[in-house]
Amino acid sequence: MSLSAKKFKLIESFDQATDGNYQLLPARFVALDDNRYLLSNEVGEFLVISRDQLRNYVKKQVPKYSAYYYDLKSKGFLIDKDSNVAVDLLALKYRTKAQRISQFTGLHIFVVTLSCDYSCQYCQVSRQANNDPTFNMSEKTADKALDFVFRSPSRVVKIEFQGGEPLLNFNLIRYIVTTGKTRNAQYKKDLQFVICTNLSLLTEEVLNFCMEHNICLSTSLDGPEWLHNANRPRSGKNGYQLTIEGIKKAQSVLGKNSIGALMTTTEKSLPNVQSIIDTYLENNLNSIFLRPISPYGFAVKTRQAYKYDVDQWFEFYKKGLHYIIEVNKQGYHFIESYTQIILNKLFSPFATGYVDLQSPCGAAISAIVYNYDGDIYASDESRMLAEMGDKKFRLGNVNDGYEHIMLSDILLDTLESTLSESIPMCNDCGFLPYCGTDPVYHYATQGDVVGNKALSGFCSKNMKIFRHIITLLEDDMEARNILLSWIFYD
Amino acid sequence: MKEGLIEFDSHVFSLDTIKKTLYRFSDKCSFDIAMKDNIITVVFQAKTEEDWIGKIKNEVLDQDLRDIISKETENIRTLILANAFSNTGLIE
Amino acid sequence: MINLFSNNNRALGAIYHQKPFIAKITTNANLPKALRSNQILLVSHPEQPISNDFSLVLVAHDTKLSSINTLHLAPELRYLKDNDVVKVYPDSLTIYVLYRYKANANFFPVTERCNSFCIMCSQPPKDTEDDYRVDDMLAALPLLPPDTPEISITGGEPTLLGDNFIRLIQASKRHLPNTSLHILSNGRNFKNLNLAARVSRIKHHDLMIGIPLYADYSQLHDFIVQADNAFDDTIRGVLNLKRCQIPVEIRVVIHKQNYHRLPRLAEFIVRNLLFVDHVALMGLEITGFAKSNLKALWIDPYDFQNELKEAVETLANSKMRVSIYNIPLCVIHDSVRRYAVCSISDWKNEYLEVCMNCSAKQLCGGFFSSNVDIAGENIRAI
Repeated sequence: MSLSAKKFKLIESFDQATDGNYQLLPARFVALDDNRYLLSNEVGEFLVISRDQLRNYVKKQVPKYSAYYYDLKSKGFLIDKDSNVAVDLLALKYRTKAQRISQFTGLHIFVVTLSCDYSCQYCQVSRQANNDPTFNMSEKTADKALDFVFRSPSRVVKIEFQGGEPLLNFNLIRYIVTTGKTRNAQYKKDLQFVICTNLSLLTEEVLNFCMEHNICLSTSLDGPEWLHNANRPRSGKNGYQLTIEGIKKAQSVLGKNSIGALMTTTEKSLPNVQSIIDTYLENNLNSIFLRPISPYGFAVKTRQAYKYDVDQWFEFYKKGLHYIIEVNKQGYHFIESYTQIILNKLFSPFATGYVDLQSPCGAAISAIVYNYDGDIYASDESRMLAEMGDKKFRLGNVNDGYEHIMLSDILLDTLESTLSESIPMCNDCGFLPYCGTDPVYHYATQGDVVGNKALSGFCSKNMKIFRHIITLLEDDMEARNILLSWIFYD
Repeated sequence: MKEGLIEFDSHVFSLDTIKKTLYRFSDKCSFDIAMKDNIITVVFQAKTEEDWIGKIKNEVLDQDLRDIISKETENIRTLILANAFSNTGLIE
Repeated sequence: MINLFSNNNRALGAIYHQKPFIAKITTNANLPKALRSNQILLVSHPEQPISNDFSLVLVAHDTKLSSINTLHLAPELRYLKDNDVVKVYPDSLTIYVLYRYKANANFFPVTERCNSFCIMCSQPPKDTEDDYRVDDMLAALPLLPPDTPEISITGGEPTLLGDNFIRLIQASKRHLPNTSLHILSNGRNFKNLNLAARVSRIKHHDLMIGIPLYADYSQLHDFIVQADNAFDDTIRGVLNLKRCQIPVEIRVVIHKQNYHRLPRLAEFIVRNLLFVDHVALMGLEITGFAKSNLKALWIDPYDFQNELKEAVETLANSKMRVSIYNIPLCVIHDSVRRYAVCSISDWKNEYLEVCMNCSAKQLCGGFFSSNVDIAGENIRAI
């Protein structure tokens, strides 16, 4: 060691821990593959270990001077006689992750109309034929909905306009933005606006308004022309052409970062992930969200929801992610959004806002939906279920009081039942900190908000994705560096 | 095999451990469970040919580890959560 | 390397002072008489007059003159300038330089006592009665020019001063309301929330506390600082400081005992201490204990460049502010060179001969004077 022995003591003198004498901290684990496990703690810190290492950890047989012991200590999996500050830190970290629950409702969705100029096969929205004013939201309803918006404790509030095609009721959008901003002078929230639009009605007037008020746009781009038009038919002008033109216009007027696109996977999409991503690259987009299909709305009626199982979609995702990583290796920073959300959950001390992966579920506390008729729904999916005839997750109407809505039995029961820690199979799953619950999905597919996770497509899909991402991080250094660069810290 | 029988000594593995394990296989197999004279008997019928006995036994071992962790960390978990939600905020 | 004190001064006549005193330097012999008694005149050229009425006169040229209340200034102190502040011991004719106006850093070591015993400590602790250091700083503060950008309080461990620690922060605020205050502390006494709260109540306008953390787990950190429970105490101290909204900087000195854990330490900081205001990853200064323990500590920074790169990237990706101090650019991986800062105090800063042709010399912090002999064969011009 060669410290001047007179004055300095060796490391052993400062180690009050003894072999085999450590205390376990709360931990969960799950198999990654035949040889490896993921060990995770309450706040999502993790280690990838072998079966033997797992057993040694639990049986208190990890030797004191091994790097593995120190990793377990530093990541909050054990404490020993030498140090217990990990407990204080875990409490603080848990509080940080749980913050979103007290800062609830960051996303407020305004369904300003059900009218739409497209006839997408998988439409989750159950659109109505054009321009019947009974399917438009009124200013009176919008005002009442804004009352609800400003009751949110969340400092950051995003108002998202959806439809049908929201630009068919642009006047109301204008009204909500200006009224919202005026009222926000009192609350000083970080108020953001997004319009989810197919871009066919993107006039100069709309663009100028978006520029003036810093409004972002989100659109659907399912892939190359033949695929996009097959999935999203539109009578009249070529939908794909309109979308591309709209994207270009928006990018040049509002900037590349103000417009994003997402795609929805159909049976036709499955063999074509590379050309779908190429379409995004050709159009200068920064990211893609490789979404599966959800079992709602017209998707069920036209039997699109069951056409492919999770395994098939997962192959699609895997190939897509691989291709995207190759693109990144060539120097172009392009992100797959779902992967990015998972990476954030793995590495960031903060919770993510993504509604569909929350525990307790995101119903009303992450996002809330104000339908054109003033009815309030716990989530996007809840509204879609209602359009199919099942109003189980309708919380009430804007004419009801805020407390009446937010303290309603249906909401509180749902929140209470969807805490992962209380759900069979979830409660001791190593992926718990990264996963969530989706009560509407399970209700729609199994008839019960919790469901049997062994039968759940939601669970199966997410586990495959977690395993894939974590294995990539462990085994492929180049991919790892690229993936780590996608993480955003709030 | 597509069906079979496994016996567990209930002094070694609790009934809860066995049940939690079998739950995880409920999409692939159906089970009958019985307990007599401290022996837990599991009879399974699977949809496909695989080494179910091996898989189930391994998963029981894993579930057993989970139960050990859960028991040992119950108190400290309560402490951590209580601490997390206590009212120490910023000091002015 | 410049000396910050000397007893090589010669009296050129009887000295008025009997007790040690602190005063400011001026080169202005024509200062209004009313101002002279509090200032020390520095005379650098034979043509300049030796005026009367100053607190003391320092003659910085060779002279055979006699003059009362005048000292012939040691050659090693002739860098002194206007606005510098010195302490003079009339009995031993020793002059200590407390503050230099043009320096890139000014430190006030307020005690030599410490409750740690770091194996690489550059200011080895002494268990002495040294309250006079507090008095010195309190006496010097009012003399500093108000446009001083920053001063530092160091030690030993400043928080051992108890109430005096608070007094020093208050005095810094009172006398220098436009000057930043950087305090170097091991943070352990801040495990008492009350101390952190007291500091917070002072409401100093621009305070930062620099706290070392050498490892991501207790056994290694405690060993490096040679104190049990230091890791836990330090972390709790940091948490308390941040609860009181006091800016904190984490400082990591990298050497042979801890470089291998550096990436894990960066991960630990991101997960647990994301709210600290700055992280400084620092090269070793081979003086004090670092010199006696050289064999156990020295590793050529070239040999830990990968660990350093990984740690910097982990911290930078999380949007934490991170800097590399005291490591020459040529031995830092070029993808993270931009995080390096010129950080070595000018009085102990040097370069090697091979540096003279280096294109990055202006940007590079160079070496500690005490390190030049061991700098290593990997130093090269970029």
